[in-house]
Amino acid sequence: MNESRGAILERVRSGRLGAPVESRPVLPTPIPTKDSSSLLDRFVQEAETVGAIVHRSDRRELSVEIVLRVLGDAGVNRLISWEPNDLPIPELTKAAVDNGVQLVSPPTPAKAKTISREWAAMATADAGLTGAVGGLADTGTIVLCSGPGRPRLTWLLPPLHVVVLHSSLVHPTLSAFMEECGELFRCSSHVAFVTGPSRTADIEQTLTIGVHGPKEVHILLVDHDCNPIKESEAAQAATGSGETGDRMSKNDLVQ
Amino acid sequence: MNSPLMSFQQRVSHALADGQLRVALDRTTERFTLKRVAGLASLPDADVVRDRARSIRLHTLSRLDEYLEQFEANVTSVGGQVHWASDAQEANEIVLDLARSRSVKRVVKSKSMVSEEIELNQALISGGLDVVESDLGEYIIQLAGETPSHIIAPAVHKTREQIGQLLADKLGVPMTDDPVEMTATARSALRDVFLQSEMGVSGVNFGVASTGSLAIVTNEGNASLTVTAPRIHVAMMGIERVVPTLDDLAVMLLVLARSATGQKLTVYTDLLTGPRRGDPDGPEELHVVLLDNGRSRLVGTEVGEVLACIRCGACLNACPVYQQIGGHAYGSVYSGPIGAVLTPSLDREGPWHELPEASSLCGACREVCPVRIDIPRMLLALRAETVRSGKANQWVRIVFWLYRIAATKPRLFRCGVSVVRQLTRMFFVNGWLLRLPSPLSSWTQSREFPVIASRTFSEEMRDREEGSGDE
Amino acid sequence: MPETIFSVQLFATCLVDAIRPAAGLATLRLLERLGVKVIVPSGQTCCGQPAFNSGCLADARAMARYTIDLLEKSPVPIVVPSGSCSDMIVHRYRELLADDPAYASKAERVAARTYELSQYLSDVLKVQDVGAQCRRTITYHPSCHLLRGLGVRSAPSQLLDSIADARCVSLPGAEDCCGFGGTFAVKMGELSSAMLNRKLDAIVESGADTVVACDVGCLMHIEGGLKRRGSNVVVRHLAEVLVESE
Ligand code: SF4
Repeated sequence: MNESRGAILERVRSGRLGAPVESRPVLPTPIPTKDSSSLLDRFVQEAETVGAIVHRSDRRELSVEIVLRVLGDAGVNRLISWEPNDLPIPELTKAAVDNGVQLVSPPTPAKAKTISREWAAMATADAGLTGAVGGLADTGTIVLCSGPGRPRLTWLLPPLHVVVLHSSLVHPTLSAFMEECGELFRCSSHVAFVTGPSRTADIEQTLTIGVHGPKEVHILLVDHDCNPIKESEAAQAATGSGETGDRMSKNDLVQ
Repeated sequence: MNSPLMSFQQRVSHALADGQLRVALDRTTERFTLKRVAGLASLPDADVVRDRARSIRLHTLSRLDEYLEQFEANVTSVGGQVHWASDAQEANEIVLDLARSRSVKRVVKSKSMVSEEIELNQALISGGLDVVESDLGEYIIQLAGETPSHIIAPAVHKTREQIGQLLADKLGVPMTDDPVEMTATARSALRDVFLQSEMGVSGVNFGVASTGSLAIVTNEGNASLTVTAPRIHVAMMGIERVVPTLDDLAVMLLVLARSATGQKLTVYTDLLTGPRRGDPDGPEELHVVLLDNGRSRLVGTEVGEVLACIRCGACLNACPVYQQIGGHAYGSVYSGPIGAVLTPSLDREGPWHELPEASSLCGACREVCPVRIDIPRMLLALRAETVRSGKANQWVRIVFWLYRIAATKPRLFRCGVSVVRQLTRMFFVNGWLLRLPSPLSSWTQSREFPVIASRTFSEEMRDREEGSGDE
Repeated sequence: MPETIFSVQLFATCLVDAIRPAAGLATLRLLERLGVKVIVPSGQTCCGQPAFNSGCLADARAMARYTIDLLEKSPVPIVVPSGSCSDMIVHRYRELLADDPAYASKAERVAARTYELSQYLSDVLKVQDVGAQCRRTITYHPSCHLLRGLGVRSAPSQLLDSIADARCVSLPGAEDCCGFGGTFAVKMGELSSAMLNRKLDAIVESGADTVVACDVGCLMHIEGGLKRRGSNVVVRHLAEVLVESE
């Protein structure tokens, strides 16, 4: 292996000798729209274009109501969710449970070694509930990131994905997001940019929705006060990681 | 790369005679083109973005060794492991060793051109592992026991009726030609595979040097599940797939989606930075296999620009040759214009010297390429290489040598033209030749050939001069 | 006759010379009618494109040097009634002779003053209407090297649109290659035929009675295919229809 490493790098090095080092001109960064309402309108429009369903809310109670309605309309019995403290609206899970939905808890990290078996039960969930660390107006994308209270399969396995996004986290473009939130990638090992529901065109280039991931994506775009702690993992990373300690306690809390 | 059994010409004949293939290609080509045009049009300054994308790729390639080292250091610092593989065999062994030492029995894969290139599936299967492809198109062709015919749409050579029949035969479901039903069948069949596999294997669209992140995109979400559910993840990556920073990545993702499928962004764009860290799910081990397999040798050569390719597939869809023969006739995993450059460049000893000939040099590929790769120029370079190395058809060399002698001596040229004229005029019918001897017969199989004019342009000009001299 | 202020040399190309002199004569007449003084350098043969496209670079280089010497005898602009040969002179000569100290700069100079015919008419003479007239239903096939090599997209159609009494109809899949590609048509005969057939179907579908292109290679390929089909659609070089008047 080491032999190959050296040999490959050596060949690359000798090949580029004398070759000009091309510089890459920096694009004029798109001026982020100051006008936040048009940014949000754009986000909604683009998200709907790619097939997501967007709901907006400026009151916490209304948000809870909307989520319950979406779950109810879809006939959801079993729900998997990010942990309450990782959701912008922690009381959502309890409200769902009070409404008769069964909450399927994700395995704790310690037990998760046997992920397949643990998760096989999760695979029967009808819906996944998550927060989001960002939105991209230009493409109608939501940005999700993994973490101790934020299992990835919540947004991948169930046929319905409900995601709560705070409007202040909507960025104009992917480039703008990368520029501002680069730290996110240091502390979260899986950052997912999701643009609409799962789709394929592998059969004669005919569009079909929901092949592996969710068939339906509901985005709840909220303007009201939210649980501030997990809005952006980036802040946490910047102040140094307190990962394991407080995470574990939070896990305990959820159980 | 395995050598195909038939000659290239035979494969072309075969493809041209395949009625089903033609139906499939006709149905999809147009949809592809419409989508891409719409996709690029949605970028306010498409040309600027393409220029930037190109310069990012060329810049990276010109300092590839440094970026690879940086990438390796960062993958390692977040807890991943990097393995370097000089060739296909070494790469396959690395993956097989990982599987064996961790008692893996089942492997789920998401589409990866690199693993097609090294024939990883065969290696793993003969090593006793269960391997299932999870991309719908790949799943279909795996069931059919075939190889992909398109970089991003592996089953594009099949009609929906053929696929319906295949699923009915292999999975015992009722026959249907409805893509929605077929997709649902595949979804449920693959669910268990994701959850029961101990190892996931994916490709990598881009590796980010500054963070050690792997960017993997799919519309189906199958790569997301592949990199999440199994305990161990192995990402197969060509050494050219590095980008310096997250900002660069953003630009590349933008042009990739638009050129490949006309979307603004692929549905699932996953950035994996190391294995899970106290998370309830995600892989516990993350391995990156960096594959060379002939790439490093191309850096700085006439065909070095192929390393800038981001495998969007746009040049295949635009290519009039690909539209006629599909991907399989190329005989290698990389088909279409980019394949005609990449295959002979990566595998110099292989029987590929005819691939660069399979182009009319119309330039449609160069026009659509999001990173503006000059494919025709490289096809020409490869043709010249064939001539230099003596692999070219001898009569081609003789004909052009004679032609050159004549073309640099005007009197000889005129003589030659008259001789050919005399010859052609012996056989013509209404000014056209209906049949020519081999090798020119391949022209007259479907077209008539013009005879030399009774008075050439230069003869007319000479008369005109003499005429004006008389005045 | 307007006062002569423009002067050019005509590089007719080998295919025009031997196969379709009418295109060369029409080009000459058209330019002269527009008041351009035209020199036709004697001794011109072939630009070397066929050898270049076949990978025979040494032969291509010899022909390129020969042609450059020929065209360097006069400093006036060069007009070529062929998209692919102009593209060869404009783009490929430089690459081919980049390492030849004696010819690199000459190649640059020649490239800088070479124009394909429709390019010259629209970019230099700035004419869009040459006063032609004919009763034809015309469809235009943009040849690949003109379109994508030289980037000439609209000039030929504009010139055709201006022809009195003619009707221009659009060609389905116009920008698709006709499958000629020089020696490609022979080396990959079957493939080339399949591409040609698609083009011929499109021509028939367009309802035109005349197909016009700016490259004699494509013209002879399309014409040969139409003849084999027994079609009565005729094939013309742009210059040939632009000099028509009844
Ligand atoms: S050569 Fe260009 S168009 Fe073709 S696959 Fe690569 S990036 Fe896409």
